[in-house]
Amino acid sequence: MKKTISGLAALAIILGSLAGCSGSSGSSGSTGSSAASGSSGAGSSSAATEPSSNFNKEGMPIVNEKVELSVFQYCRDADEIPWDNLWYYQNLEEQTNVHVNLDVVIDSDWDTKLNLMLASGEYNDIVMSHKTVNYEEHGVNQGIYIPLDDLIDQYMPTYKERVAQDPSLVRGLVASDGKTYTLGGITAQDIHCGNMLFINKTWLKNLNLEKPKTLDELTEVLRAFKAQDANGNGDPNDEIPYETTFDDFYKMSLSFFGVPENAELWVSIDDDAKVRLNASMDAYREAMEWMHMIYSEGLVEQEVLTIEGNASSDKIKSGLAGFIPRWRLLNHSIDEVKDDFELIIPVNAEGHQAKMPTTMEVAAPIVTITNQCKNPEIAARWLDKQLETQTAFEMYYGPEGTTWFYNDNGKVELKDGGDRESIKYCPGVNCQFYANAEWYFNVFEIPDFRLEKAAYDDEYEAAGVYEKYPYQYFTKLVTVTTDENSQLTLIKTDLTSLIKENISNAILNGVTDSSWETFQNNLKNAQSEKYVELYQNILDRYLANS
Amino acid sequence: MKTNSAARSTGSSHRIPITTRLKRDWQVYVLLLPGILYFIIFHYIPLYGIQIAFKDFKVSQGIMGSPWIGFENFTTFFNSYLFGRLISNTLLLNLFDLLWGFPIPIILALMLNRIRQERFKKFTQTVIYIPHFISTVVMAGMLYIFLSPSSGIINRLIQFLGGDSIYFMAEAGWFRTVYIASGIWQSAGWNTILYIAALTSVDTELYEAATLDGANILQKIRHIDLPSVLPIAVMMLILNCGKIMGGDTQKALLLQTSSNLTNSEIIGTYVYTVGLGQAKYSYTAAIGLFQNVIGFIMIMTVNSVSKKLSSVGLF
Amino acid sequence: MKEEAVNRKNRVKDTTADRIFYAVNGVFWVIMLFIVLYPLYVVIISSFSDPSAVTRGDVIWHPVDASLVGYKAIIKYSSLWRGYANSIVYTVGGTMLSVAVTMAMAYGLTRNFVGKGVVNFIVVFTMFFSGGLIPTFLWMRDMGLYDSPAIMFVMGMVSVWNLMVARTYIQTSIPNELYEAASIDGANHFQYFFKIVLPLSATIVAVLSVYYGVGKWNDYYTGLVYMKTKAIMPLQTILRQILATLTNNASDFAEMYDDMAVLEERTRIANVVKYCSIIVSTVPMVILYLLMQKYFVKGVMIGSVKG
Repeated sequence: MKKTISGLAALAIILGSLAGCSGSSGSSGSTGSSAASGSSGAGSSSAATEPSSNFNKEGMPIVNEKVELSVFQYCRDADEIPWDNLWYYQNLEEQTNVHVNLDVVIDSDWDTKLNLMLASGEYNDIVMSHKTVNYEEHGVNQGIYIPLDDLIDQYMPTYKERVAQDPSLVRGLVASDGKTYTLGGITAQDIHCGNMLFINKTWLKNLNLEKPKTLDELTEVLRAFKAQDANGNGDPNDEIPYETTFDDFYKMSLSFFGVPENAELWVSIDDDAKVRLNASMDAYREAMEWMHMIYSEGLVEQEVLTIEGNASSDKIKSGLAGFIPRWRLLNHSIDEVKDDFELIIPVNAEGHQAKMPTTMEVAAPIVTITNQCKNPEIAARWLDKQLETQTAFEMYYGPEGTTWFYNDNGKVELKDGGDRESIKYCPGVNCQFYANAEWYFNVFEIPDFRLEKAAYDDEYEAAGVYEKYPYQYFTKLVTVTTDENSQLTLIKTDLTSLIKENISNAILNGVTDSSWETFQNNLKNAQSEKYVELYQNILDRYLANS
Repeated sequence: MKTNSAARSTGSSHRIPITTRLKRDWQVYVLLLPGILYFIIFHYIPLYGIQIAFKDFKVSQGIMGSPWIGFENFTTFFNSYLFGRLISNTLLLNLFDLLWGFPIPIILALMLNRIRQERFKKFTQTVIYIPHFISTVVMAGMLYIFLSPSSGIINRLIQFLGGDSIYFMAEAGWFRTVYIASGIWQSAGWNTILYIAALTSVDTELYEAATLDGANILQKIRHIDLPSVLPIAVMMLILNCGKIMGGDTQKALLLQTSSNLTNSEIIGTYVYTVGLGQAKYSYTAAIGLFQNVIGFIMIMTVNSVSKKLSSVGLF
Repeated sequence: MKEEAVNRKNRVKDTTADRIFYAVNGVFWVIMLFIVLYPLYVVIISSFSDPSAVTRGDVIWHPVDASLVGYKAIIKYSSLWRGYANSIVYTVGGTMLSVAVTMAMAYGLTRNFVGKGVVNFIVVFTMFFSGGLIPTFLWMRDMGLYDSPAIMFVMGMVSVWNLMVARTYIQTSIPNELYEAASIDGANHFQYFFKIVLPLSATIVAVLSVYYGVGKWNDYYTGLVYMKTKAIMPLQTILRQILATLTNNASDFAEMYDDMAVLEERTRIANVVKYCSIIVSTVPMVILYLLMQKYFVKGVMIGSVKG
């Protein structure tokens, strides 16, 4: 006992003295140069200093004497880009006279390293990120990112013009204080959903079946696939009628019953702009019952609850699948069997109109400039330069003539295999590419795999399976305050567990009245009603202001 | 000086004035110094960061500058919907892990010590420790393959013996077994190192004496081997009790599937999910602090109990 | 050696109970070896197999559609070899430093000195309470350890766990009578520690070397957080990045991937690459253990008490 007391006493002394001295040592990041002044409320105004005489408002080079900018640069895990010696940046530097120091961080490390960078009080000049940029918290509230409106107006003519072609695309980038803290990036592909559905037309032909249009017809077709030798190899038992992974399985099945489950937010918006929790809809139960039925009849991949994407692809490639969800058929690693499949519109369950979770092609926040950038006008012009047609394609694909060229129509066309070579020369998708439909489709010869998907998209749209108010209103358009975000995150974590668990149990064991009731009660206990209310307020606020 | 030596090594030193003891033991302090310096520099100086659990952390204001919110993070956590399940899953998982995982390395060490063929013994000793090097990611990957209901070798064996295939990874009831059994496979061999080291310091003359007294092998193990590993075993038990609110988060995440969430959702996986990209530093720090406080209390308690019962404790 | 002679002598006088025991022990260990070795064997043969066969679960007794695709994917990274070299330096140097400081401190803790309770408490406290990543990071950076090789030596230099283990070991295997005898002969703490305790602690020093060695070898996190320059990164940090590159989950940002085929091919070999990386990173550790193993087997205390 005596030892413990003396131990505690010693500890208290040590802690007390340390807390005192470390607070003033300035290492805690609270005195990161001008960051301390931006403690709350509006951050510093856009241009920290007057542009120097070194700076050219127009034309190249941007600066007469070389200037350095530091960029906190995102890189996808899978990209093996030789960042240190990249042709693209050397080429750019020759023209602009701006040298960039890149701190490249891969996707897996992004969250850790970004937060360390911010906490260290020493910010790079520019942050180039394809992960969520928290401009509400770090821009509006803490002033780490500076508002860009004036900079865009004065120094970024290319961006301004491109945005003006369709201003609705950047509406989602405006923060709660009315200012814009990030520049957007977009690659228009004219698509509105993720995975689509494909059915094995060869099998249909082999078994003399019609392409199903209703859920009941689909179920019968799946049963036929299972019972008979659909792939014609002599074995009637090796077919997997519906080959899919867990997420796609329940999302697609729910869509047949008119529930556009996005599995991200767990809510969707109905045609009257009312937010609802998908899992509370009666159609949810019907869908779960259908999933259980086809699972127990062996009509769907039996390891659907745990199977991984590439294991599933392997089965498809081996000619074992009849009905699959997929992004597209071309260039999607099932080349061996792609000719067997064709697009199928999501079928309608009785009494329902199929609805799929719908995406929106609007600009995503990509680039921010921090308040430690000494000459934001230089950064602005440097960024703007990269949006010009020639430079943009050099950034995305590499040197003209090597991976791409101007074809007879005057459009940029990819050389064969050019997209795989490009990684040696340029950063590709990791930077800001502002390709809105109007500009993009005019200057770029769209490759056939993109056209394929766009054509599918038109069919789906004509069939009415897209949401009138896509769920991505919430992820891409509306503004969410930090406080709302905080509450939503916590409830969402609980709901995710709850809903996923229930769906899996339903698939394995079916649904009963009591299990359904318990599910609904659990949802309420997990504050689902507050969740819906918060989102409704956010949506109403957005619609009122637009 | 020399006459005091007997008193030096025993506990009855309160008769000797402190200044004399300090002068006498100065070399001990020198030996302790590098270690103590390490702890102070690397662990105590950053300790102020523990406040983050009680603050609303704003990155631009740093830890010192962020506003206080007291216990708000903790109450949010305690009142959260999943709290009860998280606590019970974490506790049960770690308790069973301790129950099964603690005795096995001891038993293995005792039995390994008794292998008489020298080469076989050396070989076995090397081999059983290698699973420790299989990373959790690979381990999980192998488990999914081995336990697959259609093609996994375990299920093929079950079917061969006439049973029905079991979808291990999808049934909540199997989660703990899979987690714990794979953990034992991975680390039991590694954990024998310590006990084997203890057994090697047993004086062989004791065995001779025992044989002369007519003891058989089991009696020798019970009366000679076991007591030699006991101090280490008690210490390991006490240390492991501190992990009662912890758990291998990475492993649980990898073995977690939507259908076994009832049992596989532990505090660590919750913290990971909440923290994903949302930078909820204070909240996750508060939960971490909660886990550590419980662990600390646990260790102190078990240590006191152990000292009362057997006068052997950690400190 | 002596034990073997003793055992042989014993064998002549085996009781029935003994015989049963040895038989059961033998069978037990054969089964145990299989249970332990089989999955390891699967890791090895999988690393040489075709990735699709691996995910299908077809790799059971031998490599299927043998291929070196996993190894080739990893080995072509030159940064890997530099990482290997770095890790050897960090591990050897770091382990020596850690073992030295830990043994000294462990010995000190076996003595009764003024303030022992305080020191014990200070040490155990850090097992549970720490400031967290951000303050530690800032402090390391202020000390100039960011992006410096030195960080690998000092981070985690003393592990409380290992310290407690070493202390307990010294306490239980080196009896106090030895200490009294030595001090009667006029030895002070330094002499006792260096001339008597250390030589008798070969086993625990070996154990600590293995514990610290493996810990430092496997550490990827320190390099990830505190280093920027690839040239000084340890093997595991580099391997982690390589694995991230090769095993990326291609379904995220799907619309950003035109080269889907390339990425799905990568995901396909991802499973095999994971096994290959285990082989690549584990071999040195196994060698280390083999070197240290003789200290675990020999008894080192024979006759010292009587002497």
